[in-house]
Amino acid sequence: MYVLITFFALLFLNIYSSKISQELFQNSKKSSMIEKCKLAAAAIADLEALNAETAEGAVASFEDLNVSRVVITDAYSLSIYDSFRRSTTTDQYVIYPEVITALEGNDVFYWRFHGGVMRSTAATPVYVEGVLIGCVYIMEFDPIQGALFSTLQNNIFTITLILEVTVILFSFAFSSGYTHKLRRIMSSIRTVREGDYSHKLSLGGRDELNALSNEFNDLISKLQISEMKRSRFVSDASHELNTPLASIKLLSDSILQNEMDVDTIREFVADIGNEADRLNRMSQKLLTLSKIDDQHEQEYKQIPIAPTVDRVVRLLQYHAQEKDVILIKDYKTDSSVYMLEDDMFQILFNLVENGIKYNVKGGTLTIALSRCDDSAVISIADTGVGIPPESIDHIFERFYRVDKARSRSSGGSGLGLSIVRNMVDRNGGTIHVDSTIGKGTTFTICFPIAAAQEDNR
Amino acid sequence: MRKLLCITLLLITIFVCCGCTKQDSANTVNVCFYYLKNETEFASDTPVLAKAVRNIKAQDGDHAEIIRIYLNGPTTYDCISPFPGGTELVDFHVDDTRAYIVLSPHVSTLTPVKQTVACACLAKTVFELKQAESVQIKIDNGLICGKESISFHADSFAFLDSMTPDDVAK
Repeated sequence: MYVLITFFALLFLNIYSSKISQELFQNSKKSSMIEKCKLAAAAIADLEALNAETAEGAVASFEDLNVSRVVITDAYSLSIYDSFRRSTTTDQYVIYPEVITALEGNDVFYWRFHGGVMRSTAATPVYVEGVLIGCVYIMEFDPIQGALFSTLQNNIFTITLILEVTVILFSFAFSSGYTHKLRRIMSSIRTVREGDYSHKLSLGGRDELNALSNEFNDLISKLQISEMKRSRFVSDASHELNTPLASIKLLSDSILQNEMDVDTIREFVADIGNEADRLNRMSQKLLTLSKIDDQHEQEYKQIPIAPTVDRVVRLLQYHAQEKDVILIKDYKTDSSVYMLEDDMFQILFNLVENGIKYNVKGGTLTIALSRCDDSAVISIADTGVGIPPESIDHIFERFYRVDKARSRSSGGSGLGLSIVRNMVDRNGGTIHVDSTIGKGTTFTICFPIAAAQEDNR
Repeated sequence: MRKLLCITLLLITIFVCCGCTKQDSANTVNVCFYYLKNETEFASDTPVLAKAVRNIKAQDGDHAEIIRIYLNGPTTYDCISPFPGGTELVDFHVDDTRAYIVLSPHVSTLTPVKQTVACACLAKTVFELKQAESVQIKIDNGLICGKESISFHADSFAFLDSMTPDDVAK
C-alpha cells in the first residue's frame, strides 16, 4: 500500500512537472508568436494594395521574423502570399483552423510537441480602417527549444524512475526488516507464554521496536521475579502448614498406639490443641495478607496515632507482664495521618507483639511518637536478641524467620512483618529497621502528616 | 394436378419478380456529405470540415436531389451545416466534367470566410459524387466570395498545414 501510494505520488509529480514546464514553454512561445503576427499584420495593413508582390515585400522587410512559414490571405481565406508555396501559381483557399478563427476576428495560437518536434502556429486578422481585409498565418518549427524541452522531460522521467526504484527498494528492505523483528517479538511472546521466563529478546538497532523489546525484557524480568516469589510462597506455605499438621498426626498416633497414663494423654492433647491454634493463626494471617493484596479501595481517614498506640498497649499489657517486659510510651508529639484505621492498629499490634515476643526477660519496649519535617515518626525499640545483619533484608518476606526454632516455639507464623510492610506501603509510609545483636531492634515507621497532605493536595 | 402445379409455380415466380422490382424502386445509396465541425474552438491538427456518411434514397443519377438533401443539413450533432437555414438549390447541372450549381441568395448573408467554408463543404461533397472534376458555384442574383461565380477543383483548398521540418530544410 505504502509502495503504491509512493508510486502514484511520484507519477503525479512527474506528470505535474512535465505539464508545468510545457505550459511555461507554451506561454513563452505564445506571446512571441502573436507578437510576430501582429507586427506582420501591421505592416500588411500599411500597404497601399494587397497582392503577392507587396505582401512578399512586407514580409521580407522583417528580418527577425524568423519563422518557418508565412501565409497571407484575403478576407475570403484566398492565399495571397505563401512563403512555402511561392513557386506555385494556383490560387488556393486556406481553410486552416487557425486562418478560419483569425478571419472571424480572433488572435489564435496553437502549440504542439510531438516526437521531439515543437511546432507552433499563430494567426491574426488584418484590419484596415476597421474593415477585415485578411489574415496573417505563421508557423514555426523550433528544434532548439524542442530539444531542450525533450531533454527536460527525459530528465524528469529519469529522476522519477530512479526515485521510484529507490523508494520501492527501500520500502521492501524496511518492511522486510520490520516484519522480521515483529516475527521475533511474536516468537518471544510465544516462548514466554509457554513458561520460559528466562528468555530474553534482543533486536538491536535504535528504533521503536528495540525500545519495545527492552520493555518486553523488563516485563519478563518482573514476571520472572513474581513467579519465583509465588513459587517460593507456595512452597513455604505448604511447608509451614505441613509442620503443625505433622505434629498433630504424630501426637494423635502416639496416643492411639501407646499405652499411657491420663496425664500424659492430657499433655499430648494440649499439644495438639496448641498446634491447631498455630494453624488457625497462620490461616488468619494468610487471609489478612490476601485481603491486603485484593482490597485496594477502602476508606482512608484522618486518624491520630496516640489513641491507637494506647489501645495496642492496653491489649498487650498482660502479655508483656507474662514475659516480664516493660512497655514504655514516649509521646514527644502526636500527629494525625491519612490511612486505614485497621491498618494502623495491625501495624502497631504486630510490631509491639514481636517486640515482646523476641525480648529478653526484664527488657523494655519503648513506643515513641515524634515528627520529622512533614512526617509522623513511630519508633518501636526493644532490648531483645537483635537481628543478624544478613537477615535484615529478608525479614519482611513471607514465612522468613531469623531463628526458626525460637519463632515456632513462640508461636510465630513468619507472616507478621510481611503484613506490616504491605500495610505501610499501602498507606504511603516507609519502614526502616536498625538492629544490633544482643542489644535490640528498632523499627521506625514514617507516615505523611495529614495536615501536610492536605496542603499538598 | 400438373396444371395446378404449373399455375402455382407461375404465381410464385410473378410474386418474386414483383418483390424485386419494388426493392429496386426503394434503392438506397451511401453518400459522403461535408459539413462544419460542431466545435467552439478548432484544433490545429484536424480539419474544420467533418465528413458525414448518409444512406439516402435517390434515383440513379439524380444528383440535384442529393444536393437538396445535403442542404437540408446534417442529422448528427457532431457537425453543423455551413449554409444558413432556408438555402435552396436553384439549379444543378453537369456539363462535361464541370458541375454548375446555383444557390438561393441566403448564402450572401454569410461573412466572407464563412462563404468560403460553405463553398468548400459543398464542392467537396460534389467531388465525392464523382461526376465532375470542377465545380462552379453562383448565387441567384448575388455575389459569392465577392465574385459573380467561383470555381473550384480538387486542389483549390488546403485544409491543414502539412509542412514538415524536412520541408523547411529543403
